[in-house]
Amino acid sequence: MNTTIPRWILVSVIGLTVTASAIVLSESRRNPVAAGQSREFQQMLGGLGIGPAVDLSRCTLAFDPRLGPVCDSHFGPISGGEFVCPYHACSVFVDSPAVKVLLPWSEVTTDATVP
Amino acid sequence: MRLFLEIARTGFSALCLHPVRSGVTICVVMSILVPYLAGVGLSHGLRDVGEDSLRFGSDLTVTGTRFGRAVPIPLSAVDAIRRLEGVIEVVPRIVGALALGKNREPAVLVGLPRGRLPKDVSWVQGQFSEFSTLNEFIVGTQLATRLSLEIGSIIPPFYRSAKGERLSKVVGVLSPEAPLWQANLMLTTLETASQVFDQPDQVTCLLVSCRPGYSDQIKTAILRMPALDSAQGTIRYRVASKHELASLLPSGWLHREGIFHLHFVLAFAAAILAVLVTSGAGLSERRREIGILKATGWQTDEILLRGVVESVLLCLVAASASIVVAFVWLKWLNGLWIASVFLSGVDAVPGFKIPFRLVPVPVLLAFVISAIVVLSGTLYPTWRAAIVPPRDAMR
Repeated sequence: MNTTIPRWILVSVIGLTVTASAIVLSESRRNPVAAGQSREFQQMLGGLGIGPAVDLSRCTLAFDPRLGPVCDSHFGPISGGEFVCPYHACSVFVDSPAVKVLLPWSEVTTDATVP
Repeated sequence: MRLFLEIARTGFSALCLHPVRSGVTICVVMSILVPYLAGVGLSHGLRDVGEDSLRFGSDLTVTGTRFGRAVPIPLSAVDAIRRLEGVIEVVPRIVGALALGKNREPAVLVGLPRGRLPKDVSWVQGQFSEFSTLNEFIVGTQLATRLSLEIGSIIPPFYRSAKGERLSKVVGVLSPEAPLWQANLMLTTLETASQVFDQPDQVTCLLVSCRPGYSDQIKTAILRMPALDSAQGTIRYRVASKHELASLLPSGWLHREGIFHLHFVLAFAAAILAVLVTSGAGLSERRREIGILKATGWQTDEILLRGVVESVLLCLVAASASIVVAFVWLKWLNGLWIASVFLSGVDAVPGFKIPFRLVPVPVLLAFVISAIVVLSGTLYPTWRAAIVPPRDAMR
C-alpha cells in the first residue's frame, strides 16, 4: 500500500481549511460602515422594513408588519388560505408571531401587557 | 499510537486512489451545503438589518384600522397624541404602494415632513432643493435601474389628483449600501406624497417617540382614546410597540429557520444515498482494494479507521470549499440569482448590497452534517466489504 501523500493535496487541504476559517472569522461580524448607514437610514425614516419583501405589491406584512397587520393574500376561511401568499409559504424569513401583538382586538381583549 | 498514525496516513493517501470518486463526493456535498450556507447567511444578514429597523425606529407606530385592515389616519390625531404625558415627538409619515412605468414596476412611496428628510448623508447622492415647483423624489437603486432614472431625470405625471398633476424630478439616488428596503423606495415630502395619493390631511402612520419608561403607558393611553370619526366611518387606533416586536421577532425567525433546516435535512438524506453510490456500493475496485488489505493482514477496525480518516478529509474539503464558494457568491457576486430565490421581488442581479453574515454555528453545523453524510455513505459499504472473506471481496 502506497502511503506517500502528494504534497499539493496536503497544501490544498490545509490552505482551503485556513481560508474558510478566516472567512468565517471575518464575516461573522458586521461591517461597521454598513451598520452605521443602516442606523442612519432607520433613524431618519422612523423604522421601515423588517421582512424579506422589498415592496408592498404583494404582502404588506412581509415588508413591515407595523404597516399592516393582515396579509392581503390571506384567505383565512379557506383551508390552507394562509399559504396563498408566497411570503407565507414557509419562507425562511417571515415571522408570524409578530402579527399577534399587532392585531387591534388582541390589545382590547387582554388586560395585561403581551409578553 | 504509531500504528494508528500510519493507518490514518493511508486514509489520506486513499483520497488520491480514486480521484473521480473523491471529486464526485465533494461535489455532492457542496451542491447541498452551498445553498444552505447562502440561505442561512442571508437570513442572519436580514435579521441584523431588521433588528436595526426596530432598534432605531420609533418607539410606537400608530396606524388606523377599519374591519381589521390598515386605513389612513387623520392628521388631527397628531395633536391629540402629542398632548399625552411622556411623548417627545410625533412624526406623521405616509407609506404607500405605487406602480410606475410601462412594466408597472412596484415602488414604495414614503413621505416625511421636510425637516426629517436626508441632508448630507453618506447613503444618498443628491438632496432636496429648498424651493421647487416640481415634485421631488429620491429613488432607490433597484427602481432607478429598472426605470433608467438618474439625478435630474424628469418623470411625467403618473398619478391623478384633485389638485392637478405635476412633473416630478429625481433629485437623488439612494446608495446600494443602504438597507434592502431602499431598493424600490421613493422618498419625498409629506405634502408631495399626500398629493400623489390624493389624500389630503391624512397619513398612513404616526411615529411616536417616548421618554424612557413611558412607552407602555402611552400605548395604553392611545388605545383608550376615543375612536376617530371620518367621512367613511369610525377609525380605531392600532399601536405597535418596538419592545413587543423585538421580543417576538427572534422566535419568529427561529421558527422559520427551523423550517428551512428541515428542508435541508431532506436534501442531506438524499445526499447520503448519492454518496453511498459513489463511495462503495457502486465501486467494485474499492471492494477489491479492501479484500487485498484484508488478505495482507489488515483487521476490520483498521480498515474502518482508514475509511473514517478518508471521509473526514473529504467532508473537511467539501465544507471548507462550500464556505469559500458561499462567501464569493454572496460577497463578490452580491448573491447573483440566489438572492432572488430567498428574497422575493429582487432581480436576478440585485440592485443593492445583499445583507449577509456567515456566523460560526451554522458553519460548524454544515461541517457536522457533511461529516454525517460522507461517513454514512462511506462506512457502511466499507464495513460490508470488510466483513466478507477476502477471497469473496477480491472476486
